[in-house]
Amino acid sequence: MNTNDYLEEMHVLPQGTHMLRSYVIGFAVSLLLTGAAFFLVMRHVFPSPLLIIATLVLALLQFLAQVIYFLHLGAEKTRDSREKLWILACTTVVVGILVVGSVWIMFTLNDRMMMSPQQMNQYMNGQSGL
Amino acid sequence: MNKDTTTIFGFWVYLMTDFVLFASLFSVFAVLRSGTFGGPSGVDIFSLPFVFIETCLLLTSSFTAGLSLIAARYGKKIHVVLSLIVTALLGLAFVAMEVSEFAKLALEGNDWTRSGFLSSYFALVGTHGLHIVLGLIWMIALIVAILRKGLTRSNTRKLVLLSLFWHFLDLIWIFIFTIVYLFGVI
Repeated sequence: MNTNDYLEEMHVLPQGTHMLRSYVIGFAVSLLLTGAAFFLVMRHVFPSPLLIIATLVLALLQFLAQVIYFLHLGAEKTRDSREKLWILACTTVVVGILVVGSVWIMFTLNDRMMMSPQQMNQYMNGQSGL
Repeated sequence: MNKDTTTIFGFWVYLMTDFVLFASLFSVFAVLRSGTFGGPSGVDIFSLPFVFIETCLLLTSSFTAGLSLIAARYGKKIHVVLSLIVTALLGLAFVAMEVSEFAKLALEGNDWTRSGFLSSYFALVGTHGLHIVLGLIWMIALIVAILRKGLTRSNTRKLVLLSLFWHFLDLIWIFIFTIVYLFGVI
């Protein structure tokens, strides 16, 4: 078969016949996980807090599935493949601090301002003319 | 590392900065989610089956983008072009659905000026949609380039970058689907 040598040199795809299988598995798993999350919420099978945890877990599983089967991260044992994985890990830490930190600070704001929710509302209403 | 793998690596670093951009928009959304200011909240305006179809369209387009890379591996120019066209059409259908959703909201008076929740919703989902539109323009340009010059070294490299970009946008959409739409309805 006539292969594209340029693509081989770029080290982006796993070797051999695993490629198509990798994409088909990734697609099937993603569809299944999306469908499961959709079904759980549509039917409201669990109480709300459990439902939030369940859909978040399904989303993280799908994220992992796509990183492995679509992006083939870490499939090539080359230096740049390993470095890509490291950058993703570092960015995930930054993203974690950003998201968790923002939510944490904003949802405990009344406490931090040493005000009760009523005092905070009063203060905010006082500022609304600005 | 040769020049191409360096370019791909650099593009990966760009995608990671985009990841941080979306993370800040997600944080803003998480904080402003309950700030409906008397306006509608997620459960009033989201239609889950509609969004589920959008999600499936984007997921399928991510899969066909991968197929174009496999076709490129075997040097099959026509198959590359065909799978890119299918990818672009699915992406276009996704954008059309999103635009119609936005238009419907705006016509009902629920545009981004209505509340903090809607501002952050439009900012987050709109930024993702803008990326998809840019990806579509890039895809059309690449289809033309591949038809004219074939699977040259530079076209192959661009195909790799575009498929990375497209898979990345689908990754972001998983979280928009879960955090904005599913959590909005729960």
